[in-house]
Amino acid sequence: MASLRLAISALVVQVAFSLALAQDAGGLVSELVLGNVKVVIKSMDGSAITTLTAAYPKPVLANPEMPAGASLDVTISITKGGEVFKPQQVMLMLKSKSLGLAGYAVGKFKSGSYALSITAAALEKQIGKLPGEYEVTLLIGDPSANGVAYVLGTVELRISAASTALEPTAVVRTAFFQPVNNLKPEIQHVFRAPEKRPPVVVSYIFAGLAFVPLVAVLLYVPTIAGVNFKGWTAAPLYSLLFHGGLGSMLLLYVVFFLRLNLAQTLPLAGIWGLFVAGSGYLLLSSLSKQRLKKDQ
Amino acid sequence: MARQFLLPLFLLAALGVTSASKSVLVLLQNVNTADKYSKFFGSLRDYGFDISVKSVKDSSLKLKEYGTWLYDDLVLFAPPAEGFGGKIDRQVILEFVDSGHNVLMALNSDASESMRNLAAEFGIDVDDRGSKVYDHFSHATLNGKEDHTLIAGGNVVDAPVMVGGPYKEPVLFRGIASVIPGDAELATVALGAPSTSYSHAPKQAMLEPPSLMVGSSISLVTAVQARNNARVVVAGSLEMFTDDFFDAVVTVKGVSTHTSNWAFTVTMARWAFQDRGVLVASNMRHHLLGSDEQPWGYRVNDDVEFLVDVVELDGGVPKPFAADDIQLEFIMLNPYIRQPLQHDGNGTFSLRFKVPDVYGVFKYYIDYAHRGYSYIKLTHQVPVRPFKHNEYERFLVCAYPYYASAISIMVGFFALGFFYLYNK
Repeated sequence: MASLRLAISALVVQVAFSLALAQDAGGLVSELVLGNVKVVIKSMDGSAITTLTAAYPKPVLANPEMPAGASLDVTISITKGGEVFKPQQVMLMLKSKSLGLAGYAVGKFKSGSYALSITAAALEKQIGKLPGEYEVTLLIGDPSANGVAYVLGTVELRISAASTALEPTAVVRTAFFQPVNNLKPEIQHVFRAPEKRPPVVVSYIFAGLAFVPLVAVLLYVPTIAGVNFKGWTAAPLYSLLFHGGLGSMLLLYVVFFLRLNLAQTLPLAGIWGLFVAGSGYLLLSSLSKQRLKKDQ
Repeated sequence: MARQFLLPLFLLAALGVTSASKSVLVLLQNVNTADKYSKFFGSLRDYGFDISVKSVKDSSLKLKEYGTWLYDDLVLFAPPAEGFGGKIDRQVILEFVDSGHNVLMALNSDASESMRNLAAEFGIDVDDRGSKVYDHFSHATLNGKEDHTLIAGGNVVDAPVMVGGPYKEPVLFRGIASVIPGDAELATVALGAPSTSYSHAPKQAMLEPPSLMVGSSISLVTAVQARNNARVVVAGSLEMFTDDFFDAVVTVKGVSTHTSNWAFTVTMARWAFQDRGVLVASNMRHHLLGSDEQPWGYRVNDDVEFLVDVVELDGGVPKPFAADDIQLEFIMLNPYIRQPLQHDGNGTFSLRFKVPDVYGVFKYYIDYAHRGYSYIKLTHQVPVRPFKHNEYERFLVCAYPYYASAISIMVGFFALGFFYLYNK
């Protein structure tokens, strides 16, 4: 029984302790309070284009345009537990909606409040030339308090055309924004177009024209008086050999054009030529013998 | 089909004895603290690494003896060390990396000047001594204590071969920030800080960006692969390798989770020691379509096929590599053709193409650099000759009139023979 009472009292003491600790812990981390938040977009000459008063946590920037050279100024006073407080992190973060890259500005403390200012030029030094829509967030944090992220809205940033800043890929490297491989653009070789040739019809017409004289000769010459094909009966063997040999000589020319080379053709032509010449001589001599006989 | 594994297997058999257990030298500030990393070293031993732990000030330290390297990999877990004992110094470590060996380095806020200079040699700009990475939005609460320097929202790079699969649980980090230049070709951010974090030395004034390391451009763990495929990993937190962080149950934004430090660090270390993501390209061959032998050269307008076998080594075990972005270039002073190679699923990459109609001496060129994998650089020269005199087109239609005139002359001559001989 005594041990049970001891156990219960130990339990009660433990609970009291943990409650006290929890309270203590809760008291250590107190909240930061943002006040007097003023957002001004100033043009290049210092005059204010837009002035807005903001209250945490409502956003106030409805994507106004920041022309080239303009600056976005934010003033804010931070208190903790009723007193003016200087937290470790007072930053303005501009995060690009297109690529997710962010540029930052650090706040300066002056007479009770922080002033933060960022221009397109400062952003270019951090993340390169990246125009477009940016989400504006105020980051306030301290090791002794919970961080406060106040999303002020979005602005549209314009980069001046004369800017010599590099592309984001050459300036910044993050876990999300870095190259995966070194792929280069594909190249297909463009082959030279074949030369233009004349229309096929023209070639066929002239080929036909080339045959016209042949047709004329074949049709006309036999009609000239004196051509008599009965003459071949004088020496039928020789005329067969001669004309056949002549025809095969022409065939040899055709085969040379299609398939053979000169080294193969010349010996054949030489030998065959001798044969054709021989048979031609024999044919001529028998024809002239026949004429002489007829004349007598 | 198994033939393509023959060459890599022979290569592995040749290095078989050395790759069976790769030796790692670990340098700690205090050798008695080695059991803080018992799970990390234990996992590496399970993967076949032979780990020797020594003190960084040990006077018998040496990496090289009589021209041979005594260890395959070096682990530096001694951030505050101003110098090294024995025969190790910065020059020897750089020669170590130049000869193809790997280094895994861990720093923290007490990183000494010599450690920061060593990291700078590898292209990594580490922040000043005494600075810490703070994040008031993505920090973790460990053992009931909320610590704004204990980062739990780091972004792991999307490269499973380098750091492992997508992690649901956070990778805890407490240490120093680094930055790599935006145009760095060899360095990769393996673990990046969340966009709300910044690097700050508590007693000093806050810097202005861009000299202030802030946001996602802070690299917490950087991986560098040199041109000779040696790998260097610089982690800004030594604590992320400890058993405490492996086993920790932390509260992040009110949610209680375990950590992925064990899987992340062991995979990262295996990648760093060239146990993962190593590619071996072999058996490069080319031939005319329709023939199997490798020709001495080509003629213009030939149809050819180029093939190469690429194998990925994981723990020394080869498996066929599959990727769609290996590009082949056919270059003579400038690339005439640049096309991706197609793979057949078995590690053979091939491309069919038509040789350009320009003659000269070309070369095949592959320059492959994919995040997490070793580089592949292959070249092969091949001459391309113009058409021979008998390889041009014959019997064009526009020559038909000439053929017709020649034929008509021959036929006419033959007929004239008859007309001449047989007349009265």
